[in-house]
Amino acid sequence: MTEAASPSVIEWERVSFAYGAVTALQDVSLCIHYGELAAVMGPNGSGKSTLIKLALGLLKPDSGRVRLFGRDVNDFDQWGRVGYMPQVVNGAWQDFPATVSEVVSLGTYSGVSPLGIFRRSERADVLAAIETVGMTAYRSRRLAELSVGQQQRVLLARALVRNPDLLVLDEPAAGIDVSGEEQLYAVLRDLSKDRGMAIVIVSHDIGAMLREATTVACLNCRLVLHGQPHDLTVDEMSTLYGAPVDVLIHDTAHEFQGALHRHR
Amino acid sequence: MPAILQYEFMLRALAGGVLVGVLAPILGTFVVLRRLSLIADTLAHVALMGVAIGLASRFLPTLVALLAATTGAIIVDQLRARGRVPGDVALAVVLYGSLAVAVVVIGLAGGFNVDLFSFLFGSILSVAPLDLWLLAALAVVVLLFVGVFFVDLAQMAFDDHLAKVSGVRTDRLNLALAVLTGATITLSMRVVGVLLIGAMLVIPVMIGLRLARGLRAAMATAVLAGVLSAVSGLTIAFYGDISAGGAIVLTAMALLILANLWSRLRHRRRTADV
Ligand SMILES: Nc1ncnc2c1ncn2[C@@H]1O[C@H](COP(=O)(O)OP(=O)(O)OP(=O)(O)O)[C@@H](O)[C@H]1O
Ligand SMILES: [Mg+2]
Repeated sequence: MTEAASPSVIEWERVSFAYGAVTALQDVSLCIHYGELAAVMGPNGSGKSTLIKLALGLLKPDSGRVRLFGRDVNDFDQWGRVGYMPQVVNGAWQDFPATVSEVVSLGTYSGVSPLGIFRRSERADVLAAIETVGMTAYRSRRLAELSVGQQQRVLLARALVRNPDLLVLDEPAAGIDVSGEEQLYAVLRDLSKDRGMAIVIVSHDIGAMLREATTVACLNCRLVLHGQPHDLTVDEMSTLYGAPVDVLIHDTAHEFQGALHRHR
Repeated sequence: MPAILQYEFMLRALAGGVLVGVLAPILGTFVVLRRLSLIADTLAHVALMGVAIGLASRFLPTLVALLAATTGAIIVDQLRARGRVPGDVALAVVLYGSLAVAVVVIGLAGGFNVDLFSFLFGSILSVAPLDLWLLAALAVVVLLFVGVFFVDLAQMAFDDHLAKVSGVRTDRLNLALAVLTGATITLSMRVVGVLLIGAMLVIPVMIGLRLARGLRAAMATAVLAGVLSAVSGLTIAFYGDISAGGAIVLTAMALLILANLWSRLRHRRRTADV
């Protein structure tokens, strides 16, 4: 499937959004396709999470339109095709009485099921998703008894167990250690290449994004840059973040110089 | 037969207590997990405003309160759904607003009387057959609602946004949950009292969360704790001639302390084993 011919999975069309008087996004147009691993980057407060929430219908744009799988997001109802992992907030699940496998099994939701109160949580697909994120040993632990990075892995499993066509990840690697990060990107690569899944990933890890993503969108209230990773220059990145950006990636196509010590 | 079971009013109070002990913790589980504990108190004060208006106008106070609390629940839910006002500030405004109206109406109507006192603190003498029927009907509705939508409600309790992106109809369910909570609070006030009903939505749930592992078990434990508190509290109120609401909530508090001790003991034993 060539990228140009493939139908869009998410389409933001001239979208603007403000929280009261604070403009978060202005006139952003962007398209995500099947098989694309799209990185959304930008400084803190640049509107990345807002962009994601608009795509998922959690916020309504002040102007412009958002389409999911070709349908206006307000009329969209095939939520089984969407997996979402929000930005994890420390302590959010302090009191929630559920084990890892119960939380992951919440991801298998597919509509109202009377007597769902009696459903078992340790199903094969749930266990497989837990295995994928390396949490098998913890599957009977309570979510509240895990570290933030472990909670993030569980939420990733909760998104993966849906086997979605679109996976949206808001800073999935923020609390995850180096080996977990390698595993995460390996999983995402497989899903986008072999399974053709569309993946949107918000991240501050410029090096990893330039290595892993097939497209990069840089936000700063407006869409500043959009293209393939090797089209972006150090100067453009530095302008976006308002500070010199040094990135080292071992990529024959394009070589940045700098100090991010990560080797593949 | 023990004395307590020879009085019809006491049988009604006990039946009401059991119903409240089941209803309040079931809805309270979702209220607590979604960190909306203030909602219970807010709706209770809206109900109090309804009671005050009902008493002053000599119209059925329970029905006026029911109307007020469900309307209040809808308004509060809409405020929450708009999402641009921080939740607890919006709740506090509604709480104090209705309390102020209640106080003014009570003053105009000539101040406190025995009736009002029983609405505020609960009373074993005041549970009327109508209250009991309404409570029983509400219990059927709530049990059906939670039974059918348990998975959806669990998703929402875990994370509202994640639930929505999973396809849960969160706006409708939120509204239904708010209305049922408002109705439960109102109808429970003859037993526990407006000022203490919030405790019945919160304390048994804390016991459940302390003792149980999963959501279902936590809810079941909370219901057990709720029924136990209501029945023992009413019995104590009968023999000790004290306020029903106070006795019930103090019993629940005692159970919470026991649950805390037990879970700490269990935890220590588990760490000692390792
Ligand atoms: N609930 C809110 N109410 C008011 N303003 C908000 C709210 N959420 C975000 N904003 C504002 O909107 C802008 C964009 O926020 P957003 O969360 O989309 O940024 P972000 O790019 O995800 O940042 P980060 O990298 O810190 O996650 C910021 O200026 C922020 O202050
Ligand atoms: Mg963000």
